[in-house]
Amino acid sequence: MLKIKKISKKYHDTEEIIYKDLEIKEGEFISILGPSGSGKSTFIDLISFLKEATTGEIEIFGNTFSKLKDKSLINSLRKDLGVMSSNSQLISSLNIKENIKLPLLIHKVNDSQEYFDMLIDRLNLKKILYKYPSSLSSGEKQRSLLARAVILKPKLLIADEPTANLDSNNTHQLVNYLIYLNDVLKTTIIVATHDDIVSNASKRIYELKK
Amino acid sequence: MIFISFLTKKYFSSIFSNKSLRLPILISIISIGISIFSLMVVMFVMKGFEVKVQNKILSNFPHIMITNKLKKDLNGISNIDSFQESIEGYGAYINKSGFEIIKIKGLAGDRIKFKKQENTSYNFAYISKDFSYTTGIDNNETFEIFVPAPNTLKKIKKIQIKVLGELEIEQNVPTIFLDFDKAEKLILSKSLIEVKLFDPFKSKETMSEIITKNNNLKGQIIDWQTINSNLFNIMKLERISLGVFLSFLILISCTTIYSNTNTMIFQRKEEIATLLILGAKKKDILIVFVLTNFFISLIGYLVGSLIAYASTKILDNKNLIDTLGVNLSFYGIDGFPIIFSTYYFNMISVFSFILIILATFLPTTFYLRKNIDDLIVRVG
Repeated sequence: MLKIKKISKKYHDTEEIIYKDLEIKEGEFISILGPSGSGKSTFIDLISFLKEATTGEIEIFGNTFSKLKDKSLINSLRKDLGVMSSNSQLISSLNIKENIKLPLLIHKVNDSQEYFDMLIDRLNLKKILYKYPSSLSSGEKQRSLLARAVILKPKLLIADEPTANLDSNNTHQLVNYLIYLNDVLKTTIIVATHDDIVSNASKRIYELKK
Repeated sequence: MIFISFLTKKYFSSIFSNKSLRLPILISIISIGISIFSLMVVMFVMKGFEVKVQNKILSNFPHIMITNKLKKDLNGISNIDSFQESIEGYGAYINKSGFEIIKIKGLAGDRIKFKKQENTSYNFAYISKDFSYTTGIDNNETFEIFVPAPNTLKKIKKIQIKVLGELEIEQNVPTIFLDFDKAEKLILSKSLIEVKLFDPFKSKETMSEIITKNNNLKGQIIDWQTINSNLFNIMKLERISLGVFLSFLILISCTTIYSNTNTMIFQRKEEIATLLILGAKKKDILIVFVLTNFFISLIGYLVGSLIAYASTKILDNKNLIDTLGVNLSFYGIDGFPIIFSTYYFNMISVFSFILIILATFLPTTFYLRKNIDDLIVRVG
């Protein structure tokens, strides 16, 4: 599913983060742990093709990338790649229902009402479907972002601190859904987190050191 | 396409609820509207003025003039409506407040019937409407005019005139119309043949036909377009200059669109990053932003062109000038000189659309050239 080989990322020509090689198989649920500044978010950005690695290769769904030059291939891969990072916002002009269904429009995929109903039911989004992002709490936003990241039933879900700023109730709700995705829908999940609840739910840990 | 039209509709409808963009967008809509309105109205007035002057020339003056006195063969030329021999000169009419320069025109042919002049010192004549208006002279009244007479001691001679009636032939100065033979004896001018055409705009072709038929005419024949070419060239130059200078107004308005597009994209740059992360193509996002801003500018364009169209129709049809009491008789033009011109409307529309598209396209491409990572503002 995903292999990283000798990848590193240089900052300001002086600092460099070197990542251990890693292979993630289909159906895994892996947590990326490490102290602040250890490169968790950078790792998430690299494997979700938001940043380019200085050295090394990333192999995903059988395609190997060392540079992000093949934009059209990366774009087509995004259909199978659900990204829920602090960098991906909800679109302010769209209500929550429209935000969640946006990837379906982008990738011209037919809407499955049954899956959508199940998704909003499990993530408790029914009451806020017609609200706009500006009127939502952090928990509601995070759950909406997760719903949007998985609406296309991606093979791989990459999430960066999905439970940041959430209360315990919202954290449990979100983690339960991640477990459901992994166990029932067989979605491979990679999560960068500080949260023990999330890391305890995962099946494997990839630890980064500063 | 569904994604593009969906997001464009959403961005467009949410634009007026964006507090920081609402006022600048309103200002740019108004400025586009005003500049398009100004450019269109000015061009329509210029066109109207040109057409009215042209019509005036075509209705009052011959379309072709031939100064050769030899017998001419003008038959068989299809564009010739009528032709007649005439003679023109100038004289003066003296009234209580001074003297009035008048035109004396001798007409041949069957158009006007003159009485036979027997045992009378009066010369029978018709007068133009403005002659009657200026002098207050009516039918059957008599008066005197003075014409140049270089061969006499006084260099001037007095002529007695008796009015037979008024003629509807418009002239640029008050005119009296005499029988051709009589006029030829009284005034010192060369006679000429005045030709009226069915299609005055084909005067050049008709002139060539006349020359082909009458070899001796070269240099002695002239058409209305040649006579008035300086006037029309000046009017054309004036129209182009005004058009160019007023086009800058649209250019200035487009800078406000450029600035708004820039602000809008800057505000939404993280949303752009999100759309790219979700798999949207840069080309599609570019189209969304260009279309959103284009539609906003289109409101300004529509408002400006509709007001210009409505103003043109009101000024053209309602004879507003009379209502306002503005006197345009000095120019000899009835009503306000304004005409809706499809040509100028289309030209201004195309020019405006090109500028609007550029003003929205350039800032959008600038942002979309960046990498996703450069569009993201990281917190913490």
